[in-house]
Amino acid sequence: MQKKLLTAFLIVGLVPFAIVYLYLIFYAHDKITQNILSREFENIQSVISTAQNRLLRADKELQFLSKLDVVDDVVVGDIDERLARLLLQKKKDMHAQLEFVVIDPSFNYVTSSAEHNLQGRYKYLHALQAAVKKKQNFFMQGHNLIFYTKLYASFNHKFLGYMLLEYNLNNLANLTAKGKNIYGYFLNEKSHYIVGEHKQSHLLLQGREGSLITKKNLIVYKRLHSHFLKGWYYVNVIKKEKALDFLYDFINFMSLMLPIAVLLIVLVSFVSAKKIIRPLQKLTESVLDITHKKDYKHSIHLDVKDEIAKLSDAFNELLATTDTALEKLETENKLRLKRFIELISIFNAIIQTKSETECIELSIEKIQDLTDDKPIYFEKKKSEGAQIYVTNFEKNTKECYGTLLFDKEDFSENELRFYTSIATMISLQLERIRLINATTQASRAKSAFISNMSHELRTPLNAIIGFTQYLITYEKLKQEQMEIIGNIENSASYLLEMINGILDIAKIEAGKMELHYETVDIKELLFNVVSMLTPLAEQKNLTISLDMQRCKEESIFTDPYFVKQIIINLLSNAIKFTEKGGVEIRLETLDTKELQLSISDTGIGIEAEDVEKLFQDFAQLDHKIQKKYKGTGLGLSLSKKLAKLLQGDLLIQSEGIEKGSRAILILPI
Amino acid sequence: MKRFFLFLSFSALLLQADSYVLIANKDLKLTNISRLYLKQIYLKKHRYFRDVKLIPVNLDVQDAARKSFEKEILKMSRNRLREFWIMQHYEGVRPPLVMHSSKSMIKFVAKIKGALGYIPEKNFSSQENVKIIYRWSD
Repeated sequence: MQKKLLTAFLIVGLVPFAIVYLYLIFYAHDKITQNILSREFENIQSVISTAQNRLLRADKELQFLSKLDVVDDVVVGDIDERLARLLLQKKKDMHAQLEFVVIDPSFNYVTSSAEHNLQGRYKYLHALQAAVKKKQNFFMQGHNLIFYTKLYASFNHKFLGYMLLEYNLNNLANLTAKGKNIYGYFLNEKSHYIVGEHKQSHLLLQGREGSLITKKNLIVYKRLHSHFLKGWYYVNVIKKEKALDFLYDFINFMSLMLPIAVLLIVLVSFVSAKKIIRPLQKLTESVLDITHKKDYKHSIHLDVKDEIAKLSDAFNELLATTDTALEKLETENKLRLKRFIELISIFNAIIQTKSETECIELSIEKIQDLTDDKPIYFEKKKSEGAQIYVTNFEKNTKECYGTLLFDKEDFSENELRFYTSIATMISLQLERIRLINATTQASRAKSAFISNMSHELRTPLNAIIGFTQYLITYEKLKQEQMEIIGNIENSASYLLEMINGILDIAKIEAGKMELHYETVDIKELLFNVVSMLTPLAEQKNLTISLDMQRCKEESIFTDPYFVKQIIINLLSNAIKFTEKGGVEIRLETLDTKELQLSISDTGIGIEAEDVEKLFQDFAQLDHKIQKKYKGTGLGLSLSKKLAKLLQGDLLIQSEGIEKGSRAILILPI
Repeated sequence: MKRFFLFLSFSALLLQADSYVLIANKDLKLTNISRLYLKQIYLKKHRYFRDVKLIPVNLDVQDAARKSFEKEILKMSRNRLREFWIMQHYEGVRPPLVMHSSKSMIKFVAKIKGALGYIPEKNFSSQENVKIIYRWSD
């Protein structure tokens, strides 16, 4: 910008200067010369016109005088001198060197305007006679142009003589140009007679008009066209040096000024450009600074009073507006965020509700808190307002639950959306509550059913087991019968075990499992269980190792019955699925104030992706190796549920088939 | 003293009744004309005498002879005369010529054949080429 400005200034400053300078050097001389010549042509035309008019006037005066009655006095030789006085008066009136002369038909003087009396014959008699002969009413004599006219008596028109006007051509000299640098003259080429100042050597004048440019002079001439001065020219001589003096001076001045002017223009352009740019730069810096710091409260102050000041004012205004807008935006944002949080808290509160009534009441209360509007009512029927629809899952249709009524008529679109979304939220929560209630009821019904069924099944089973055990002790049975009864007893026991498991799970799910917390010596409990199951391991030639060194707790507060049941389940599983090797049991206290019991075996193991399936009810893994092991499929599932019930957890880890597995029981202390 | 006598003689001239003569070129065969005829000539009603064009000549307006001539011969006031000549002017008739002095009057009349003019009688001398054809006095 500064460079552009500088360039523009330089162009604006230098180009006209250069043009003027070049014009002066190359064209001005010719132009001015031509100007002078054309001006001088006008001047000489004016001089010529004036001169010719004077001569014409003189001739007319003569004609006029010759027609007067007083001319009759010629008859009496003008003895009253009336004519003489008239001529003298006329001569004075004409303010020129001239003389009126009256002569009689025999060319003797009668009277004249001359001071002294003229007598005898007219002095230019021959010239007059020649002119009369030529029928020319004028003739030249020396310096004089002499007009003449014949006089006639007014009373009988007889020829009285001649009246002559001797007009000294030097009279025209006061018309010629005279000055320091210019002079003019009338010239008769033939007679070389000259009127006016003459310093010029002989010139060759040709044609009607023309101009000559000599070394020193500009010469302009024009031929007179009056018949009085045929062959005469008027010439103006202008001293070239003086006429073009100003031009030469100016060119010299310009040449001298050239470096100074260029320097000045460059300097002024540079300073001006800088001066114009500086406030702009300052403005730009301030703007960048403000933008960088994002400090819109800052305003810009420039020490200028021009358009840039207006720009900075405008910018300050923009800043102020931006700042206000930003503040407003921020406030609005905060408000929106607050509203949003409030809305979320409303949703959260609504989600927390457990019954339909609670949900509706809470919603209304919260909405009212949020909107500070006029009261909101709920009506349990469809009417004008935000309607709440709930899905009927049995019929799979939407039913209108009720309507939120507002004591307000004109809703903005946003308000309407807001209330509709809250209504939707309430609908969702209502549906959720209904679903939860329905599910819980179904689950309870199922558990109650199973629990009842199990109880009803257990009673006859106990009888069967009791009687088969009695029969086993009966000695008169054959070996074959004994085996059959043994099978019956086995099956019944398995069935009972399964029923007990189902009963437990049902109890847990129905929430009817009662826990009996007491202080339990966990080490003793574990030792007892291991001792109890050691014979099973020994049957399969498996080693059992128990490590309780890292357990720092003597006792924990828990339900010993369920803990024992979990441990038995885990340990028996380990023994059951291990063919060779052994089982390693370790009890330790964790940093998280928990007790961890891990039971590792070298058994069949399990695929990592199948681990989760282990905890499903009635699950047994569908694997050819695992298939041969009988079980209810309830063990691990029940154990996990019990562990959760005791606020602990149960995890199974395995690195894969044939790589053994590890069960981890975590209990709170 | 000389002035005194001049004054005396001038007063005597004024007191004495002036007499005037009407002169004509000697070649003009006009003698003893009546006042009315003279008036007609001066009002340019009579332009010719036989073949000679008559040229009446007046003296200057202020001249006493002219005043007397207008009073005694023309018997017309200045205003009437002026009106008369204005009307004549439109018919192309110009008033008589005017000579400034008795001297020029005599010279003019002597030179021009049809010319007539009046002068105080005392200014007349018989050797001129003129003759008196009418006389009057105040």
